[in-house]
Amino acid sequence: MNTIWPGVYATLMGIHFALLQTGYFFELQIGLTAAYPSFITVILSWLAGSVIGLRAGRGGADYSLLLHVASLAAYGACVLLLNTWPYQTGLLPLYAALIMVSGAQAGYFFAVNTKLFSSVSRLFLMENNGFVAGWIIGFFGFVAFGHSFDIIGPATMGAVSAWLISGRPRPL
Amino acid sequence: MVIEHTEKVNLRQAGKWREEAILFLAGICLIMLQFFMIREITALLLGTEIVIFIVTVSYFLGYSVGYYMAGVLTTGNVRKLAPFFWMIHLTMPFSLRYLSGFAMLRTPLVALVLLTFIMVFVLSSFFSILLPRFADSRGGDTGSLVRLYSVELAGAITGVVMVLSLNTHNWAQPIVYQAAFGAIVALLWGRRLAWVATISAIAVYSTLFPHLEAYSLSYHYNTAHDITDSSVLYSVNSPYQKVDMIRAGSGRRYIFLDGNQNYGSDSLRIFNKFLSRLPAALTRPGHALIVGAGSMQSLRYVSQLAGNVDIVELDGAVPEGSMRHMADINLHDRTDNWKLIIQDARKFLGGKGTKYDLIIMDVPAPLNIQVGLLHSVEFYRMAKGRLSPGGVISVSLSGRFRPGANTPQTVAAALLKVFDDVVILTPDIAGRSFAIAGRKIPFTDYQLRFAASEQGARETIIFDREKIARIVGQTPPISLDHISYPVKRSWRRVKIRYLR
Repeated sequence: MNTIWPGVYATLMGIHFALLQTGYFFELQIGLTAAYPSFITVILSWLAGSVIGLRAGRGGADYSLLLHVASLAAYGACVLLLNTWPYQTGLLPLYAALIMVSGAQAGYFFAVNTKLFSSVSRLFLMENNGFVAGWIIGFFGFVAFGHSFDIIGPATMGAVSAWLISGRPRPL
Repeated sequence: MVIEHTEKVNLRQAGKWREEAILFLAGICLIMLQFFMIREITALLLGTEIVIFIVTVSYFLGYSVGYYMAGVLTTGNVRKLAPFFWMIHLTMPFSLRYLSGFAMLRTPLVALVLLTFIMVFVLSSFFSILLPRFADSRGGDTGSLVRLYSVELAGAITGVVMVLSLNTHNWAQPIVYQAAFGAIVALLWGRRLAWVATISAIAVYSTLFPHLEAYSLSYHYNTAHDITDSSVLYSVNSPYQKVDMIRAGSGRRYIFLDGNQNYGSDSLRIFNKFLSRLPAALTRPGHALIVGAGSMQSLRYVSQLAGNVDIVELDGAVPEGSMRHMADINLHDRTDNWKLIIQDARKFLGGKGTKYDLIIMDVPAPLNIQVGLLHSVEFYRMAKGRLSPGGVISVSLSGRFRPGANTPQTVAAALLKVFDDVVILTPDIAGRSFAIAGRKIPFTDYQLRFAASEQGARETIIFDREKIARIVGQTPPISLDHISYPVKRSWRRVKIRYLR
């Protein structure tokens, strides 16, 4: 197996998760409220979703691609709802559920890729390096292109990630 | 043999239980770090958007450092490192204030580099060693990782709840954080002596906290902000920002939001007269709205001239501190024709309700994206929707309006795009310009100039829409698809402060 490939895969997935997280964060701030229930919802839902995804990843079958599509669909639905009905705090539980789907993808990623590298620390390192890069891209993308980047960024990275997931290296 | 085997199993079980308890506490610490220590460092470096960005990226880079170290260190090494890291953390946040204050006096760039270094290598890095280290020591199998990571995430969720419930007292978050870290150290060592030592250290930290907090904050404001003999009136880590209210030896009071001065200088006091009293005197509004509380001095000026006043403020900690420590400045207790609404101004104005005769934008300059959105085309459209037919909005341009003055041009560009009628005034004593805009401004230039002179201006330059458009030129306004301005301004501030 190409030894570079697992590193590239984990790093790019880190970028994907960061773009989703920054996208959710900025979109909720713009379309719902800058009050703390909004960013606390992003954090708590993402964390809770990650726990669910982690536990779901213990099973034998691999649903990475399916979950990836669900995660992107959840993000798209969130952006669409926020733009169609802005400032509707009554929809916050729905947004929480949608963010949870994306968080679940992150948790699932770690569970099914435990053996991608020779150690768990390497998996976390590579994913986090990607996350930091994604956070930087997400921030400057939003600064440069504003709200439009929250659609273009995750959609582009989502397509790359889908390709990566479908042809990704199998665990060692 | 059976007894020996049972003992080994019990020991292994105890070790597993201990690791999971450690990870739960690490999850709490990582979240608390993000909310109070990052906030502290941001405020020390005068938190504009670029500073927030540098500090946050450093925090996440700390995770990478920890994950790398997890692959290099043994669990025994981690145990030895833990007390060392905790002892450094026990000096915080006080040591950070002394270090940054000391460095700021000489070369501010050193303060920036030093605090960034601490963020990357000292804060989040230790906690992020633990999860992969424990998972790898259990063989790195999926079952172990899922269990351990779930426990850490559960800790993080608990951390968020704790941060929210502990933000009213400035001592609560640091003490809970130190206690959680101390428990991690004691659990790693697993000896009674370690528990005695950590509990004693936490007791000492808690006892000394109020004194060290007051001294170190005063030192920071003395050195970094040149406020002589300062004392701390109010210091709160709200869910949004660090709010500090300071009294100088001269008696003057200051408000700092994430380290940026919001109230206190002469120009900021004059600012409120022109931003709020002048338009209120000219319009005598039945319903007035003040966006942003700050010192609440605007309330004093407007409530005397308006039928009733609504104040909308996102962060309840700011008006709470102002009512408690600046009552003689805002006189909030001498009038009853006002009410405070704790809500995001965009959500408030985006809804339906009272139409206002006067909206006063008492918000800081656009130094971060959040505040930048309050100077955007979309925001002004919402404000226009809530103005009565003859209503006006009063806005500070955060600088003197002239060619080449980027912030005033950017804010004016947004106003021009939304409002039919806009006028800008630059009173000589204010050192900055103010805009008043509406569908149709209900007073003349002569009345405006006269009102400015009543506020103490000897000379006032007035720009009409045509002159404003000429000076604004092609300057793009802030909008949801063009939010770069606050970051550019923030970058200019960072360059001036740290790179020159």
